[in-house]
Parts: sequence; C-alpha cells; structure tokens
Amino acid sequence: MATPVSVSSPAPLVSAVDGFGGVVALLTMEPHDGSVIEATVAMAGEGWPWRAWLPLAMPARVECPWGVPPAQALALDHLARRQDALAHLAMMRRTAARLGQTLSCAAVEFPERALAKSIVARVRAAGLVVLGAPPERAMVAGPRWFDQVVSMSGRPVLVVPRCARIAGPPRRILIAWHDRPEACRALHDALPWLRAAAAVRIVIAVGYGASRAQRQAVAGTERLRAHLAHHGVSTEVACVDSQMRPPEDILLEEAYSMAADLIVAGASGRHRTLAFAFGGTTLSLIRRSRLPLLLAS
Amino acid sequence: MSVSIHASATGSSRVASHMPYADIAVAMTGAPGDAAALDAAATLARAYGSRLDVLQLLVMPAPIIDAWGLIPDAGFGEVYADMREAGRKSVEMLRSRLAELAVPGDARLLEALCVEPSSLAAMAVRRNDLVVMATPYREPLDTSVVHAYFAGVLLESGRPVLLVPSGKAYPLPPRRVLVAWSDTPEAARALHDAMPFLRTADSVEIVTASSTEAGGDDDTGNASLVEHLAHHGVKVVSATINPGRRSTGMALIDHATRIHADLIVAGGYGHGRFREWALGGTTRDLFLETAVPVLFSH
Repeated sequence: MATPVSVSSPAPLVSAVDGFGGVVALLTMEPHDGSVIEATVAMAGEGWPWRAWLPLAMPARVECPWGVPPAQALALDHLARRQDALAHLAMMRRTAARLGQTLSCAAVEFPERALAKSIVARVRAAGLVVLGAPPERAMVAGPRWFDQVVSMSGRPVLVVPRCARIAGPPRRILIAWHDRPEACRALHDALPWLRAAAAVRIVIAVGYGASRAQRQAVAGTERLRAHLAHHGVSTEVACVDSQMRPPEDILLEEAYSMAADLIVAGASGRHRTLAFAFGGTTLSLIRRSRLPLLLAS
Repeated sequence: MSVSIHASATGSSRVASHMPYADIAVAMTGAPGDAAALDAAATLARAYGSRLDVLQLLVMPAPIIDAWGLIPDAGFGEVYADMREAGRKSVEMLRSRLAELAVPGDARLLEALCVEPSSLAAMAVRRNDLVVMATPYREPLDTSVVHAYFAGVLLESGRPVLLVPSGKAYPLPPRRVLVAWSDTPEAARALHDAMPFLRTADSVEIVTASSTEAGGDDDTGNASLVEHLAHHGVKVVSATINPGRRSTGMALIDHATRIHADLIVAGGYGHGRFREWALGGTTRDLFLETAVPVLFSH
C-alpha cells in the first residue's frame, strides 16, 4: 500500500494569517450605509483588509421625454446615477474619516437585468460579506440582491440591523445550533471571532416532541464542546425547552439575557423563489434581531 | 504574509491559536482503501497538529419479524452481539494503528440500527473540520457503498471532504494545487475551505472550464478572485481550459496531470447527486477517476 509522502517539517504548519481575509461591505445608497460601514470597521478588527462596494444598477433602456433621442436619455440617466453614487460615497468617506479610517470604496456598475447575479459572482471571492438588514416592510422592498447574496454566494454574511450601533468586535456570542449543515458552516465560519470572544454560548432550542435533528443535537453537545476546545474556544451549551414557541423567540431571548453582541446561525431555505428564500426562523431573525447576525447557507 | 512554523510540544494538550484543521475525521467505509485514508489523515495531522477521529460504521440489519408478527426472532440478539464484538475488535485495531502512527486521536464505533448510515456519519462529522475518505477500488459493490457514504457525508455534514486515491503516492500537504472554479456557491465554499492548503502550497492555479476559450489568459471574471487570494498571501495563476469533447471532470483530471498538481479543489454536487450519478457529472468523474487527492465542499 503506497503511503503518502510527507514533505512537511515535523512541526505543525500554522499560518500567520487568521481571520476572514477579505471583508466586503455592500452598500445600498441609504442612510443605513453609515451603520454598515461602522459595523465593518468595528467587526473587521485590526489588520483584516476590508472594502466597500456600492452596486449600481444601470438600466439598458429608459423613458425618454419627447424630443430627446433615446441614446441621450440613457446617457443622462446613467450620468445622474453615477453622480448620486459619487455623492453618497463622499458622505460615506466622511463617516469613515470620522472613525479614523480611509474608506476603500468603489461604485461598481452592473446591467440592471443581471444585477443580483453579478453581485453574487463578485462577492464569492470574499471571506465575509457585510450587508445592512433590509427595511421593515417587506424583503422585496429592500435591495433585490439581499436574498441571493445570503443564500447563493456560498460565503458567510453579516447582517447589520437597522437600529444598532456597533463599536467593536463581538465579545459575547450566541450560536444557534441545529444539527444541520448550515448551522455547522456558520459555526466554523465564525471561528475567528469565537477565538477572541469572552463568552460563547451555544443554544439548542428543543421543542416538545423533539424532532430527530434536535435529539441528535442534544446528544452531541459534549463532542461539540471538545471540538471547539481544540480550537481554543471555551463554550457553554444550553438546551432550552421551547414549549411550543417558535425557535427565533428562544434565540432572541437567550441573546438578550446573555447580553450577546452577535448571533451566529445557519440560513435555511431554498433560493429558488426570491420572496420565500428563507425558512421561517431565518426570516424572523433578520426582521426582528437588534443584534448583528452571522448567517451561513 | 508568510507562513510561520511553530515548534510543537509533542503530546501536550496546548493548542496553537490559529490551527486550521484542529479535528480531522476519517471515515472507514469498509472498502480496501481505508488504510490509505488513515495514512493520509495521519500525515495531515502531523503537519497541522490536529487530532484524528476515526469513525467505524457498524451497519446493523433491522430485526426481522417472523411471519405471524408475534415474536421477534430470538436469534437476533446474538447476531447483534456478534456484530458489536466484531465492531469492537476493529475499533481496537484502529486505536493500535493510531498509536503506531503516533498521532493523537481516537477511534469510535457508530452503530447504525435505525438510522441511515450516511446520515449517521454526517452527523458525527459535523464536529470536525475536515473528513478524509479513500476512493473505492473498481469493484462495483465497493463503489456504490463508498459513493453512498461519500455523497451523504458531503451533502449533509457541511464539512469539506478530502478524497484520497488508494494505491498512489502524493505529497501531503500538497505543493501544487489546482482549483476548479465554476462560479457556484459550492466552488466558493471549496476555495475557502481549502485555504490552509493554498497558503502552504508552492503554486496555485485556478481553472475555469469554458467551451469558448482555451489558453492561459487571465479571465476578467477571475481577476477579483486572484486579487483576493493575493491578500491572503497566495500567488495564483488563472487559466481557462476547453474540455472539447471530454467531460469537464476528465478535462480537469487531464489538466491536473499536465501541471503535476498534488491536489484538486472543487465544489461537489452542484446539480444534485442522483442526477449526476445517473447522467454523469464533474463530481462523479472526479470521484471515480482521480489520481490525486480532491477536496470537495458543498
């Protein structure tokens, strides 16, 4: 039996670079962008490169008033959009300067028809994506690419809630654990923060008549704690009886009771229909949480 | 950014702060290639200072109820006891093998009585950072059992799977890495899951399969990827290959042979495993035909 030839030195290979390695913030031309930039600066931490993109949808055709040739109307429309974007970016640069940072931000133009797809393709190279939570009323009223970036990019997404001011990296972290691949990915994606955190709590919401997934999750907690201990993270695990309440209620209550700075959860659901991109728990968390969420799909 | 090598205290339980793969699982499928998987995992564990978790699956048949449905077959208790005894012996052998290889870790027996075996393996593996499995030999029975295991673990565990070919020699950690980029979420996850390998490799090439272009020119679509990886300290070369009349999987394998790659990184089962197994697909080709280790992620 051929054995693999080892060419490494006897000592373990450890990389000097830790962290997400490339944080991208996506802006939306709304005032909330200021919070998104503050959150990116605060959460990214020392030495992790980050930049912000403002995706600009460029329509291929616009209404032209009588007497104006279509090409000219289109050119004027594009120019107006670019100017709005530049003004917005100037405002964001002032925000960043106030925080003592230089903003590396660019307005990136995409054809309107392929907006979501192009953003997702660009974002796949990033280590972490930071997005602002969409406005209250409905998911589709917010940026059209929000759902797709969370579910189709394959990267962890930090959702910054509308009313929060984030001052520093998370110190107290709540992990919503469900024995599904998404939750597992979210937990491992959050490792750079978990290592630096002061308190990490894993919460499993167990319902009455627990489903198989929940039973398995409860059974495996010791091994999970041992695994995280190998990564240098000490955790406590709480299995909370949900008493027929929805799991997001339990998670949000636990987060507030432990004064968490961040909730880590897997984003369940299917991408196919945009409006129903997420399962109920994920959607409720995005709408209701006043804490930043790290979601992985 | 450079790789720093820290001296390890052998046998100490202190953990280096940035260990990329702290817990590596090895899935024993019962096929002859298992020993190769264990050896490969041990090599990686020595390189990264990880612990190994060897999982031996024990598939127990469901109890047969006799024709009248009244009394369960009394002989079944013995059958289970025998199987458990055999399972215990194999776990003991695995533990002694681990001791021989001088790698920290443990072996465990997973009993699959009422649970689908691959789901059980997937559940056990979620507490690890990487899973190592060996490719099956060409016997049809081996292939289907190992493939069922592989697909279940890859799709349900959320962890990357390193598939190592049995009976071939390759350096680990790999020196030359080929990344198959297909602009899907699976490929993005595979790329980032393979980051520890990319950082320590001598050369990394990102390849996109396109039926229109061939040649080594840098694609504008991959430019942001190349730039991002440069931030990580990984020097990347980008290329496009034209599969022509071969399938994408075979084109990737040929390209890997041509550039003497030691590892292929690819997203797995972007189109669903049943469809791929029936109609053919990149993952299936790589699973069956690869001569170098492949890191899959879904």
